[in-house]
Amino acid sequence: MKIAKQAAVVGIGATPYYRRGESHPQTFNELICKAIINATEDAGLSVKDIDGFSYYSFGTDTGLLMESLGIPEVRYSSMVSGGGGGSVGAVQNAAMAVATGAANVVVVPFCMQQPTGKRYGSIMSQIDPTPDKAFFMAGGLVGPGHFFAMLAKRHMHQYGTRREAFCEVAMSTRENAITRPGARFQKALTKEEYFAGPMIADPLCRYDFCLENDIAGALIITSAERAKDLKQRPAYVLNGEQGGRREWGRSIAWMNMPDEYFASAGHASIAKHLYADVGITAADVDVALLYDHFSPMVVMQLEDYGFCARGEGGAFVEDGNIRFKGGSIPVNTHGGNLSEAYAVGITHMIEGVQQIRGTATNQVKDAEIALVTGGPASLPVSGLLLSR
Amino acid sequence: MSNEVFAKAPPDELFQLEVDTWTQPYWDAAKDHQLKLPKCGDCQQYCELGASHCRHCRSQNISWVEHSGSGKVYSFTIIRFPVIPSLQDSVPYVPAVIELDGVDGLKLISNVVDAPLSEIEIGSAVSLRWHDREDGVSLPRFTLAK
Repeated sequence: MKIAKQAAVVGIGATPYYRRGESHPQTFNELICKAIINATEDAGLSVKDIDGFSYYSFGTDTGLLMESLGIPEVRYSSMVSGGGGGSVGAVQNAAMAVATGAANVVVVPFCMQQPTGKRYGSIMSQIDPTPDKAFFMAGGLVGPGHFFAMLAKRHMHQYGTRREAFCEVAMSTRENAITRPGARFQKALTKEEYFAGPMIADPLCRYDFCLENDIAGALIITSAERAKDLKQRPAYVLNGEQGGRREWGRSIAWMNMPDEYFASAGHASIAKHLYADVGITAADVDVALLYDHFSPMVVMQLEDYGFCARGEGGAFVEDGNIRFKGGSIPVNTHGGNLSEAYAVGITHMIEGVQQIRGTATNQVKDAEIALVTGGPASLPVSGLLLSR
Repeated sequence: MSNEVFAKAPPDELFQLEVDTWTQPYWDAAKDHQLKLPKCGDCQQYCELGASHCRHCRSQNISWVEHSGSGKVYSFTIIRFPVIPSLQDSVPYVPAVIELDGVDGLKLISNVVDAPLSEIEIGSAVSLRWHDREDGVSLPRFTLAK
């Protein structure tokens, strides 16, 4: 994408981070409105300045939001297809919209709210049967963890990755959550606890799974020029990329990836474009906010994004490289989906902005470039570089 | 008999079959206990299961060729925790990706059933085992090859 630093994230906002199902009786759009109001206040803008909406993972109804927020006119409204894979693609779309002048102030809103009595962890048993889904539904794959377990198993087989690596992802992420007010887990996780955790879907145990929360969050994106006059230090959109390779395709819903893709996060082509367009490498990234729905997918993203070689992700994390304190590339400094909260990527984006502002709880010193990723999932997947 | 734990199977009620033009031949063949795979009648390469066109040449001349069902476990997981109540009597069961022999790496998502959990490994040879449901749908499943 050739619009480096023409747009910036200037506002962030969120609701409290509720445990799953506990945000009721507030409604879905009510939560989104609250997050948007918070984000505009953070930016020093009026809600009425918003003239664009950029969604991901099924989004919501722009007209309904305008009714509650009193937004007079919208000139851009779009959504990245697919689910959590495209999360940060919505920021890329927003940046493109303001860089081209299609809109002036674009909001990226997201809300996750669990219906009472159902849970995201069994989502595949709640979706309508379709002809394409029959091939995996027949196999009794009920929750996302069941699918990703098979990618993790293959990675272990192909590269000798050990459960100790997944344990280190869980422990280091937990350590980051401890200092975060509002994080779901604020007590250190020990290796003993990890290995004593019940096996849910071999090789994934309880601590390899992300949380389930009710959260709405929002980011405000405007032009670099306008960003200069606003309240916060701008987090410039250095680059964004969404899509991916056919060999990854529908990934877990398909499972026909060839060897080099199967035991990966499907982000290698995203990383290639993300870096090459702006002439950087993984070594230039100061902090990585990697979508951690399952701990092994952090290991595989580290490989896809070039922080280590293919197959060496396990040893790389076991050597302490992703630790906030002393790691070569601090990962998920907010406690991630594993220990802080899960809301399909919005919490990673908020942390990325805070790292660039220099206001993060676990601030990486002088962080100039933050990588934020969408979920390893069916295409499109996405990546985002934020910079000072 | 040892204390060996065997892989069970997911419950039938988890899944209701929906078909369309391009998956109907697969499920029709399954009723006759034939595993049929889509192959392009023009360029003779295997196509994606359920695709309306051959991805290699865009032809819609898709033929369905029978496969023996012999293959290898490409990856698998053991579901031990019943994330929804209806799984209670079915755990442990083993979803698996099966790489079928001689079809350019084409893989099926299925289950390894009726096999000791400790003997299921990536690379294990498997053979076909049909599961006939009460609603008339037959599912190809796999067990460790003798």
